[in-house]
Amino acid sequence: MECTGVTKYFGGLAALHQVDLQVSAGEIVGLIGPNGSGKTTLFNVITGLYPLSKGSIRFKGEEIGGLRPFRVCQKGIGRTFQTSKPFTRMTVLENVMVGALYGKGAAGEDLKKARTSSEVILEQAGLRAKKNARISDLTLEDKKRLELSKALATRPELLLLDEVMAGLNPTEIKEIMGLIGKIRQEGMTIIVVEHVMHAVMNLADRVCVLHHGEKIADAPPEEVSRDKRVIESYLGEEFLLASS
Amino acid sequence: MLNRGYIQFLALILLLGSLALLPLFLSQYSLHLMILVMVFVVISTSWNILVWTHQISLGHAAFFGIGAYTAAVVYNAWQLPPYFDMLLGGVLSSVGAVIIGVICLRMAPWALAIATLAFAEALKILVIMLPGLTEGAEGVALPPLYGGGESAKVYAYYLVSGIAFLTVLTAFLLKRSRLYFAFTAVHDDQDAASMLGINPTKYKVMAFTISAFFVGIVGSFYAHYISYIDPHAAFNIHISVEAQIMPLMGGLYTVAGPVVGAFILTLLGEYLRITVKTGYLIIYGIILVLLIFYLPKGLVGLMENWTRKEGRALSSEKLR
Repeated sequence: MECTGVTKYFGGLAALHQVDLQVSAGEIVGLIGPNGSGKTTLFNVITGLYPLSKGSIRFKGEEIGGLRPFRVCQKGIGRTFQTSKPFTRMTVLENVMVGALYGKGAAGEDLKKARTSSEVILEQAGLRAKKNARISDLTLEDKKRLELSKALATRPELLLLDEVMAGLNPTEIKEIMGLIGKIRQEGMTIIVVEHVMHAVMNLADRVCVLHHGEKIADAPPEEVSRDKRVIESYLGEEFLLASS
Repeated sequence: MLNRGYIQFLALILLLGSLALLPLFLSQYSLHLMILVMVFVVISTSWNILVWTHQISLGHAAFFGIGAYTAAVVYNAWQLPPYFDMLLGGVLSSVGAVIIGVICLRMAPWALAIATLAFAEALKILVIMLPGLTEGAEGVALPPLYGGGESAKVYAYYLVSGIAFLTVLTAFLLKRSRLYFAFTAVHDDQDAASMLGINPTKYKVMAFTISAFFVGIVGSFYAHYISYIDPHAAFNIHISVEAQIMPLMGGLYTVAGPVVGAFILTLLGEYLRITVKTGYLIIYGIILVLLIFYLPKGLVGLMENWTRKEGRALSSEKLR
């Protein structure tokens, strides 16, 4: 995927300004930055939830800037939301089935097939035991796993994970990291937005840093954690945690 | 599990059988009442389908009226067979639904409710203001359905029951289909749904269209059956209100709920009207409020609690 000069205005404020971002197949790219730096906005623009003000977004050679979210999904980009958005009137399994039934290449997929493939995904995500549970019965970590499963059910080639570890304890974080590693091994390309520094530094091949809507760094994790500008604007004390 | 499904099926056969045999036992008046019940089965079931996408219409009378006036105008102009104007009534209602559906796409539920209400009222006024086409406020007469004799009511009953059956069947099949997943996803969270490949516009408008179609057909039927319609009857807000209350009372996200609601409320309303004479509406209102207070899932929900089902997965909801 290639973002070139991506700019997004809300009224007079540039939430994103001339952001360039390239992601190659099979990479895990970390996207970090202080709150309000534009990370989620970038995801929203890529996935079509917000229209692009300026710039272009190409995916597998095709221009996708300006496409509506359901079309972006059908092109092969999946995404999780920062605060999970499960369908509360459905069970866990049914939530995932929605992705299987309507995601990329699904046209007319029948319920039985969707159910089977969804069960496989739930198995991989560690939720098989809770497949018939109601959303209200899930823990926070379960909900994150569910959010991930739903996105995976749409058969994406590029996965955008928005703070999937927020609010989890260290054990849970380790588990989710394992899950992400597994997905990556199966050939997925992933962009991870995170505040949990050690997770990003460990998982990512490359890290991009946003600050006030602009990209200020784009390099392998060790370089980024040493970059003066990044440390000044963001890492601060966390630099010490990241390098441990 | 097999037992329950078998029992439900048996119960259904019994019910359909008794409904089919009713005309043998009922007076003309009671038959008329049952016809009204069937009309409301169609309207409440259809309204309920729209709710599955979280779109709450307060103007379903609009589709009823479009159907009724289609029948009146077309029949008087061209004397086409009634079945044909009923179908046309359904089609034109669907067209109306697409129009209002698209207009309401980005509205919050409360705004959509008001917009649909306004739509119904606007159509009523439109009809009044075009006397050249619709005879305006004076209303339109039509020749009675099936000749208006004694057997006419029986045929009308079978016709409207057939329409009701088709409507309920549509709801039933819809609920077990892939479409229901899209409807429910859109209902629960539009953004999440679109991120999973669902086009919310497509499914919201689709729900509106399906919801309007049978109401239009039954509106045309009604015009032929009553052999006279006027704007206030055809676009009556009472129709829109009953369309909501019946599913609410019977059970919103079920198939049987609107049907149960239609039966009970139509018959209850009539019973009260006869026995209580004055102020029956107040009692009717009180009963409704009590029901809504104590039965948030409607009567069908109550039945489910009795049979102690554990959590209702979408896909395990059959004929309820």
